[in-house]
This record gives sequence, C-alpha cells and structure tokens, in this order.
Amino acid sequence: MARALWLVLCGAGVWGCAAGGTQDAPTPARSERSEVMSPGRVSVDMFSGREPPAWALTTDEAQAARELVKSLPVGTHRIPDVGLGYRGFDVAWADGAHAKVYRDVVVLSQGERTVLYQDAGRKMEQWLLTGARSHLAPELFVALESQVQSP
Amino acid sequence: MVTVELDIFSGRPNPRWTLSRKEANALAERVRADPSLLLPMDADTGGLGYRGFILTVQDTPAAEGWMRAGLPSRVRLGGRFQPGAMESSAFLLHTAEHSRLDLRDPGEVLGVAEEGITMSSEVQGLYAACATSYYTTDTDFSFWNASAYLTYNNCYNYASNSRTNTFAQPGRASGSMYSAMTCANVGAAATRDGWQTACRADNNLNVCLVIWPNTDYHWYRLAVNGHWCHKPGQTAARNYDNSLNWITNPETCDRGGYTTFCGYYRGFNLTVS
Repeated sequence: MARALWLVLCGAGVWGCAAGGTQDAPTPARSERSEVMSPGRVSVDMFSGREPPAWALTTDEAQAARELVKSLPVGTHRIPDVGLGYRGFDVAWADGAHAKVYRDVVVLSQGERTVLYQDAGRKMEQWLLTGARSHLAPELFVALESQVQSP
Repeated sequence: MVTVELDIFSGRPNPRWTLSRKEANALAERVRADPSLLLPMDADTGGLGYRGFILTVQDTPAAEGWMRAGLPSRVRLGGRFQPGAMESSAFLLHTAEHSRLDLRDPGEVLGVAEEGITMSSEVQGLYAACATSYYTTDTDFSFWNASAYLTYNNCYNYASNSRTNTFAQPGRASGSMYSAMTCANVGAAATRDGWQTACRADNNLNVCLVIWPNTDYHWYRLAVNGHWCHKPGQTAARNYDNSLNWITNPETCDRGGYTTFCGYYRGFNLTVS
C-alpha cells in the first residue's frame, strides 16, 4: 500500500523522488536530466560536491563556439583523467552535440560519432573562460582561472 | 645508549641527541605502560615537516631499562597521525632542550616540532574503522559509473552509498543545506543528515570530509582491503588519488586542491538528496 502511494506521488511529481538505490541493490533512474532548451549550454567540470556551474549560450555564442571547434585540426590526444580539481568545460548544443574542452584537447561528440581536435593555442578553452567571467561569482571565477592557467 | 632522532627535515640531516640513563629509563617505562607508542620504521608518520622520532638503542648500561624491557633496537615514536603519543613525544622533545644539537636554529626547529606534536592531537586517527563496518568493493564501480548514473551522482552520493541521481548535497535531505565551504559548516550539514563522529552500534560506513578552501568539498569512503574510494563529482568512482596511487590514507593522499582534512564520520542507511 505504502509503495503504491509512493509510486503515485512520485509519478505525479509531488515528491522529489529520484530512484537510485544502494550498491548491491541497483534500481533504474526515474528522472532524466532536462534537455538543452537554449541554443547552447556551458558547464564547468571542476567540483566534486557542488553542482557544476553552468550558463546558457545565446544563439550567436552557440554558433561561434561550434565554428571555433570546427576550425581546429583533428588530433589524437585524449583528455586525461584528472580526478579532483578542474577537468574542463562541457558545451552542449540544442542539436545534441557535445564538446568536452580541456586545455589543448576538444572532444566533439554527436550521436555515435566522436572526433578529437587539437587546440594548440587553447583558443576554445580561453574563449569559454572569458565567457565564464560574467556568469560566475568573482571568487569562483578566480578559482577557475587559477586552475585553467596552472601548468 | 638511546639515541633520539627528530625526523623533521627533508634535505638537511635530522638532529640527534642521546638520552641520559634516567631519561632512557623513563622512556622505557612509558613504552612498557603503552606498547602502542612504538611504530615500525615503515609506518606513515607524515609528509613534509614533523614526522615524529626515531629511536636507536645500543646495548650499553645507559639503555639497561630499555633492553630489560625487551624493546626493539630501532623504532619510531610519534608523528603526524599518533595522537596517543603526544605526551611521550613532548617528553622526548623536552630531552632535546638541554642537549647539544648541531643546528644553527635549534629554537625554531624545536618550535616546529612542538607545533607538529600539538597538531597530532587534532587527528582523529587512521583506520578508526568501527567494529561493525559496511564495506563495498574497492575495484568494481559499475554501480556508479554506468552512463545512466555517472553524471547524476557526486562524492556525497558515493560516500553515503546512496545513488539518488540528485547530485546530493550535505544537509539538503534534512532541510538545511550547508551555507559555507568550511569543515564546520559542511560537517554540521552532514550531521543533520545523520552522520556522526562516533561509531554506531548497528553498522557503519566510514567516510571522511575534505575541503578545497572557499571552493568545494569532497568525501571519501573506506572500502574493503583498507582502500579508500571516492567519486570526484560527475566523473567515475575510483580507488586512486590524483597521483594514480591507491588510497590507503586519505589524510596524506594526493587530493589536489582539497587541502583541508576535516575529519571522519560514520553513518548507515542515511537519507541524502
């Protein structure tokens, strides 16, 4: 009875139910992440606990970001497994394309296709960092900038 | 003869001095009363800075008390992670004060050591695993790293062993999320979720909290085989630190910018969100 009530209330969105479970008792997720509604969305992958800071791109910005990626030469280097700390920027476009940008590597994925790009001048990362300034709290931007610029 | 070496330098030779017969006997009495004071030579006693004392004993009349007690001839005592040795460490440091040390700056060096001894009292202790602990695998993270869950669960989810897909935040489930990026604030929020510093009688997850000052928090959880594991945000859960080493000691592993170690917590079947 209790579970039936839970299912009804969760399905109605009354409770903030998100299925998950504990290890050794896996259950499927009940809620999906919302689709990108704006032309593009940038998030900073640097936290472990806090939610990644994110902001929407305008149409022009989304297009500029896409063109910037496409202007890069194809590369072979992959993004390393950084662990704790700054791990790059994530750019998601409304058409489902996604780019991961970390230092001189950009990984563009769309559907089943993934392409690695070499960004020797770190132009994409710098473009994203510049755009981050107006979207992040000052102290957070300083922390991000410090991480991006660290050797 | 009992020689004491203050293990504190990285480049320079450590300062050494010899105990008097009276001091050696007093030390032997301390160790006989509490054998856990002594640590093996390969014990992890800290990184840069104060790392405790190394005792070397030669069979001479001055070391009679030590030899009679059957104590080892070369052994460690004290260091960053042995709060129980604080008093004996202070005793040993005191014996240096009237010794002729080959140091340009004995006052400063002994001051640093004294600070290290004091700070060791703030460490809750390694592997303070509770008698009844719940351990998950230290190698198979498929439960966390499948694409359906990977980016929706963070370090706090992993520490809590609760895959809520909500990127759980300390205090949110209890209605009062943390409000500042400090050990006290995030720790209090976790406590509101049900975490505690003492062991529970039923079962325990052993976790610890670290802070990237003013920026973020992170949690580790003790798994089987004495390995600490973690999930850095939306990335994969893993058993290695930023230097790709197994994590056997979260206080000294490579934690990147999360330089502040807050302490250990215990809990089980907690609700996080």
